[in-house]
Amino acid sequence: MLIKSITLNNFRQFKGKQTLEFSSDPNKNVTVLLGDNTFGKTTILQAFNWCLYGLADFPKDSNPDFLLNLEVANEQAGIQQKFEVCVELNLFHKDTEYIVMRKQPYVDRAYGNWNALNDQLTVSYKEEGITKQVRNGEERNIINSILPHSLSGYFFFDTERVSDISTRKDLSEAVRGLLGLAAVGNARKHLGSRTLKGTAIGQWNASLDSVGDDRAREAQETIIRETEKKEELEGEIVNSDKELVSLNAQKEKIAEILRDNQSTAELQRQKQELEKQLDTENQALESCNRLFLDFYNNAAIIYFMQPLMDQAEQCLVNANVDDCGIRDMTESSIRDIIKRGSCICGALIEVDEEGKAGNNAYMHILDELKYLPPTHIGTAIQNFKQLLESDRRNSSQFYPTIEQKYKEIQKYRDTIAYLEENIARIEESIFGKENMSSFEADMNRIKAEIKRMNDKKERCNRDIGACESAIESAQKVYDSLVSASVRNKRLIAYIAYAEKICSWIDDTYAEKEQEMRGRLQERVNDIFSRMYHGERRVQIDKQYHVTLFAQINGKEVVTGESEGLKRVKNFAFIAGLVDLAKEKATLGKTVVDSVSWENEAYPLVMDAPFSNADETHIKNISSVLPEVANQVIMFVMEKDWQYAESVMEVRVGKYCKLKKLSESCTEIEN
Amino acid sequence: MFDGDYTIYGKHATYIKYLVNDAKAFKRYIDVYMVGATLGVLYDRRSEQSDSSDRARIYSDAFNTEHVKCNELFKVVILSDASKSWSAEERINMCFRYRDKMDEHAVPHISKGELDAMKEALVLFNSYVLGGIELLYDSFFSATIGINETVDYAYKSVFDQYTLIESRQEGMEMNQLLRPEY
Repeated sequence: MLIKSITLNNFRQFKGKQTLEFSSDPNKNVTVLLGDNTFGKTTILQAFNWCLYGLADFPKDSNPDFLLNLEVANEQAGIQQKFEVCVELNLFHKDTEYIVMRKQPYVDRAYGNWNALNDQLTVSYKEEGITKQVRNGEERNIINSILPHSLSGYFFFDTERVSDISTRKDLSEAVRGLLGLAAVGNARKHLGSRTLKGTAIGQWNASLDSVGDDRAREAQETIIRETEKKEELEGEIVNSDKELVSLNAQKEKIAEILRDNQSTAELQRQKQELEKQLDTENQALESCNRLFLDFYNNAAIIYFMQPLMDQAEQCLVNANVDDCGIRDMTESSIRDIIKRGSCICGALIEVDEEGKAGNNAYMHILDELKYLPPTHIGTAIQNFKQLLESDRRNSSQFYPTIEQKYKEIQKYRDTIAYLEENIARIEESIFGKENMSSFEADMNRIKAEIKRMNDKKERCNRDIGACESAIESAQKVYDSLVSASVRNKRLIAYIAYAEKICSWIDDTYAEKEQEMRGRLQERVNDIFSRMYHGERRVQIDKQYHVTLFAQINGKEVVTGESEGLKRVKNFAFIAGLVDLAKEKATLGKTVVDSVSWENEAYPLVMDAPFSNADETHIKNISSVLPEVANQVIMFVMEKDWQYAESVMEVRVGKYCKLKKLSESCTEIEN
Repeated sequence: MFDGDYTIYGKHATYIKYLVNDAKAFKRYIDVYMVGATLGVLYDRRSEQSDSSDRARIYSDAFNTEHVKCNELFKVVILSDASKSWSAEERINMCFRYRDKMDEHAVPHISKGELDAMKEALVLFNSYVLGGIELLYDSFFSATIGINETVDYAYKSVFDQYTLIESRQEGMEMNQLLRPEY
């Protein structure tokens, strides 16, 4: 790193735009800025710090936060007036020219009441003659990579304020950084360990999912188990479907039979109806038959007799028939009356013993015998004829009646035959289908079976759903765990690498640091001996505190230090550091496993380096510093410079002078 | 006449039993007896009693009940018979004048010739009865006799009679008649 120039614009007492250029000639690498007290030497040093890091350390009584030139502030005062403080630093780092510019705008809220707005930092670099600005937000990182803030105090060295370098707090970090060990140290710190959660290894370790593998195995087992179960259930559903098809076919078959049976039942009912009708008809027929036969039995004889009657009458045509006699009176009736002794009229009938004679009544009644059979048959024949006539009359309706009755019977017979025929047909059609109860039982059984199958299917589907969700959740767990496991593997690899690096750093770092400290001590002693005219030597402890020892009677004892001695000691230490920092940094036990990198040489910007140093020391310091540092910028008072000038003159590339115009205005004279 | 039991022997007994008990065409033996007499004359069929152990008796009660009918029938049979060479006067006497039983007190006195004639007449009557029974048996006989068959046979006999009467009224010969199918 080489600083080319610094431009101040209204920065504190440097009113307006003033540029200070530094010598970058390797042989004449010293730039001397002369100025007495309160001329602004420290302000320039702070301008470096402010420009690079945004920090400026001014005495508390000098309004340290107000950077704007007071005269400008007064002159430009006015409400809503704006004015900018600006410091621009031009430097070379690793063969690249950087321009670092920090601006601090101020606005006047009230008359002369300037408020600072946010400062703006821009870093640009030149690449092949073209100026490019680094990406927004990258500025700090760039600056830190050029010159870490932690080390700035050694390169922008305010000798007066930091009187004793050894009283500073632990310098190990800073020194390590300067010596190029900081990166390694930071790396080591960054890697950390498993127990430190904030470090890389700690984070990785914490991220390791140690129980994940077990859970993944478990999830995988669940997936396999549930998948098997699901397949089994699906098989069951397929079987159930098959069985359902068969059962439905059976059901249909039986239903058909039962439907037929319904018609059979209907037919049976019809048959019963017909049988009932038949029964009625049969009874009616029977009754008719009986009536017919009764009629036949009673009346047929007369009908059969009819032709005979004609014949008989024919025979009687010539018979003598007179009807004087009393109808139906018979000979025996007369004799009975005679025997009784009184007529029906009441007249007494008297007859002699021989019966030949008697009273008048007897003779009358005896006379009647002449008109009676056998004496007289006319009446009998007449009677017979009348009887026949009566019979003929009675039987005149016999044939139509019996014919009618017979027709009736025929009708019944036809009806019966029709009924019987129907019944027979029904019987034929329902033959062998009488027993349906077994089919109904089968039907009920099949229906129950179908219901059972459907229930089973439903249950299987439900279980499959459960299996699927179990599989899904297990799969999720498994996937997450597998990715976790992949991450675990990666993390384990990281940790292994990191720990390997750590152990390598741990192995080499302490050694290297010790070596570096030894070398630093050696170098510092070397420089110190060149600077100091007495017999003392320097010892650097682990905190990089520098202690001076004196040799008294062969014994090394800690000695008291004057301000001058302290100054010398400090310069020796810083010079040692800068000198050592120029060297190539390496790390590693052996050449093979070592890594090395180029360290950048650093400038020394020193404010009042020679104060409290005597002439000899000033000369000694002046001869050493340009040798060890590649660029030396010194802000010195003229009274101190006169001692150094004789020694350093050959190395001075540039002289500058501060010219104090007023308390609030200094000019740089290049 | 017709005032005592009348016993039928032999096949006619069997026939009369068949007609009453099996075919049930007639209720009583006397019905068969009377119809038999009628048909016997009508179709000029006479028969003699045959010797056989079988017998059927018509009791006097039945004859008493059917006394009028029987007497009428007797007269019709004797008067319309064509088998005997009796004169019309003889037949009329048999029907209306002659007495068939001896009665001491009968006036005029009952002659033996009178009784014999009546006896012969009754034999003739009964021979027609037996002949008629045969005809009836032929008409009603069937191996499987039932009431329907009996009715049919009864109607057939009536229809035959109807045809007979019609033919006589029309003056047609019986042989020329076509028998209808039943």
